[in-house]
Amino acid sequence: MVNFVIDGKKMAVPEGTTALEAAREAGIAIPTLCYLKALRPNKACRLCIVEVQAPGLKKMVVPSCDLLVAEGMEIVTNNQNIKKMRADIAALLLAGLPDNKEVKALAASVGVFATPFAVTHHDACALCGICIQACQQKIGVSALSFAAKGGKSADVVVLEASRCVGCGACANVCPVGTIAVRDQNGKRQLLLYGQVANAIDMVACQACGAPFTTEKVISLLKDRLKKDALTMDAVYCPACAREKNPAPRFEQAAN
Amino acid sequence: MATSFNSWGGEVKALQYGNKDVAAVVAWGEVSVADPNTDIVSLCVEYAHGVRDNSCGHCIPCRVGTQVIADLLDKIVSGQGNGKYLDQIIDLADTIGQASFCDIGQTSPKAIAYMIKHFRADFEKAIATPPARKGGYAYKSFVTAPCMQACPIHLNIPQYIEDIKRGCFQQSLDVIKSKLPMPGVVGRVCVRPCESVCQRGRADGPLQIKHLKRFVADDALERQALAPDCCSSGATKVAAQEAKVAIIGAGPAGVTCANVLAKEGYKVTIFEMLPEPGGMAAVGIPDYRLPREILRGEVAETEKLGVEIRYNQAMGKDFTIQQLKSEGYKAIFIAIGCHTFKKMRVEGEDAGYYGFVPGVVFLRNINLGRLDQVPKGARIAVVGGGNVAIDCVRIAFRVGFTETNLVYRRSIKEMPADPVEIHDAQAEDVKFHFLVAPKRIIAENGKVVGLECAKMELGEPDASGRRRPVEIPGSEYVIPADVVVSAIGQEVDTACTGTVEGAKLDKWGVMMVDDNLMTTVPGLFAGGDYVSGPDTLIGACAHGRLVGKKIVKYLAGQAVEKLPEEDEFALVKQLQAVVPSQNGPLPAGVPRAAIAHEPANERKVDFREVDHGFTAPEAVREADRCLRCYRVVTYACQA
Repeated sequence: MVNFVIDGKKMAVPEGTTALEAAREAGIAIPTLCYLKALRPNKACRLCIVEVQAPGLKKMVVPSCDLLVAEGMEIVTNNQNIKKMRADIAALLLAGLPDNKEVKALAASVGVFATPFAVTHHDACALCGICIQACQQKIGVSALSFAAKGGKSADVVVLEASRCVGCGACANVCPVGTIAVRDQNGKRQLLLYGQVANAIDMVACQACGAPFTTEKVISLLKDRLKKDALTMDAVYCPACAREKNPAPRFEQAAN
Repeated sequence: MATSFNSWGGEVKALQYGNKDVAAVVAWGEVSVADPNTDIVSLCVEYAHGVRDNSCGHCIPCRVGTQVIADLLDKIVSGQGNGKYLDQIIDLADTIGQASFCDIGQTSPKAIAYMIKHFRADFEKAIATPPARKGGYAYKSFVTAPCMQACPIHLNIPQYIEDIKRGCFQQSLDVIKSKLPMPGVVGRVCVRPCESVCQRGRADGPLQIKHLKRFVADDALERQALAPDCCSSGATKVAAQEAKVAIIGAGPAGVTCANVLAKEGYKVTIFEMLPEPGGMAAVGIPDYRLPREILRGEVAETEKLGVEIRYNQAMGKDFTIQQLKSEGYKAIFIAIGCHTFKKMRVEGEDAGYYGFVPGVVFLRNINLGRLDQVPKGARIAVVGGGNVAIDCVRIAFRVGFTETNLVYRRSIKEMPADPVEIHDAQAEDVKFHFLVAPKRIIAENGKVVGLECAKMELGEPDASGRRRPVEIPGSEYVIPADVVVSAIGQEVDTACTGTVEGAKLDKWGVMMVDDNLMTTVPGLFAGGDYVSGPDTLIGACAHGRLVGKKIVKYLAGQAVEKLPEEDEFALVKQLQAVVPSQNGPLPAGVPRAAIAHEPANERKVDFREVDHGFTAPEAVREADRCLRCYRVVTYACQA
């Protein structure tokens, strides 16, 4: 266990706990845009910044999602300096995406309702990159990447359609609703910035006949599970699979 | 009106960009103004643009914030300014500086805030009356980083590491190859000046920069094996040039130079003394550190660009410079390296004993497979403390010696050899004799039987700053050895260049070169170890690249002069701003990735490669440790 102080309170957590996890355990609210427990810390939105004083080091401002708590640390999550910076960051986000409802809600949560900053052009999205991270780290596909369309710096997310399997993980993690999945006429469409970036033929459930996934997702799963896979000769949608094969699956897996 | 000002807290330094005085410079979050007539507002606008354009876009405060600041400053200079803007910028600069990850975000806004705070009157004047931009000065920006600055060829290290972090391995390789045609070679044997200044070294160890470079090179080979066309760089075809160029020496300098010229459409012929490409990289570096197929493969890539290599062509024997000129070569690059050895000046060295051999000869014969010319025996003593000496003792195991000794006159602390190499040699059970100097080679019947040595102690520091070894009287002892190798240094073979009309020589007989590596004969260039003395492989590549660029200018009839990048790096060097411990220690987290090796007792009997490369996840994880210490530098000069 690691002993440390957060907002003046003593706390002990297992080694390897991040400051953000510890704060949430202690009931301290820290806003985030790009944090997802399943992914490695992304450190892009910087909304989760905290002040930390580690023994022997100077006081620093770091994102709490990436800060491993260490013995003797003193962490401050909510002083004036941090609050001011969070408000600035929210205002900047809002400057780039003034009409986005998710960003508006996030900004409101740190007390920002309008941005004082005017920018010459708006952002395509928050460019936080967790869609890319999820595709790369969790799906292992790397179909998404940043691209620089306007200048030298990345300003847009692009999809390599031939790599995309149509799993929809990107749409699921996107915090600002930039990516969406739409199943239409037997095709799974991936919508990026409101445009259809990919459309893949769907596979129907062998029980109920409703299309529910793509061939590429099935083969990715088979490949991932390899010999650990329980028999996958029949393809059922989640609802039918649960109905046909309830509890025993778990018992089998446990053995 | 601006005054002389320096936020570094010292004197305003007189800085030079090429041969021009620098009027003002902004870098490392600091500002220095030498010429009071500099227009601070223009300087600030240029800097803000440089910062905005070089923000990678990862951290939201930096990406949007630097854009907001640049926009506000643009408004000020275009007459749409507002008195509130200045405080808004200062306030925002503080947030960006504290909340961003890398040095672009952390330090750049600070400099903008400095300028506004210290020269507020200039900015207020600009808001009141939109300024006509002051003529007579040029304001320019570029980026650098401590690692880029330390790298002799100034590779864009943070960029190729970032590409690895993002999983774009081919892009990463392309960044390296835009300057360096031998990433797999340098990724194995570089002495890593970049890692010694890596800012992460202040926390939990520098990045494994060398191994990351090797990883992207190896990864491309793997992908090529699967799909031969996958890595075609899509190099744009350039118009073929008529002028022929001759390069003497197919080592790292020569091959890099040929690569630059071939990409510009020139017909290049390399004349190589040995039957093998690579120069010292082939015959000086053992295969267990640099597998030959890697070196041959990377040279072959340059050959594919149309470069011809003629082997077994020794200068002074098979051809002369005059001859090349008369054959119509319009430019010639001498890159023959340092293949001659320094003498130890001990008794018995010149007696022609069987079993005494200079290190470069010992390595060359083994590396060319001429084992019949390598003296046989079980025990060997190698004299020297550099990488050549370490290569000699380690390679000795691999050709059948069972007891290897390394004799060095100073202590391990002063050894110039790479610490990693020393460690690997220790793991292979090399016996080190520190503070010991050779006195006499002992022979019986014309055959070496041992090396008489004396023990030393360290005295006062000498010119190199290392403490001078002093002999302890009466401490002589004998190291029994069948073979004695001297590896105390290399020299240039000055005889082979012959007499070239108009070429000025220095006191050692080496052709003198100017700042552009051109000799006193127009069109005749020289570089690599031939000019610098025994130096690093990457240093030779850097010479080769520069000479290539200069030859292009020379053949196009343009003035042969320094490239902007050379002046830029020289400017940052004068700033002396790359201070490793500027900000105190950083919190540690993920330690430097360890490199796996072949087991010492197994590897030392054959030539298998000792170091294992990174796997893709290992490389991405290591790349993720990069702190991205980019800095934007903006300077003003009189136009």
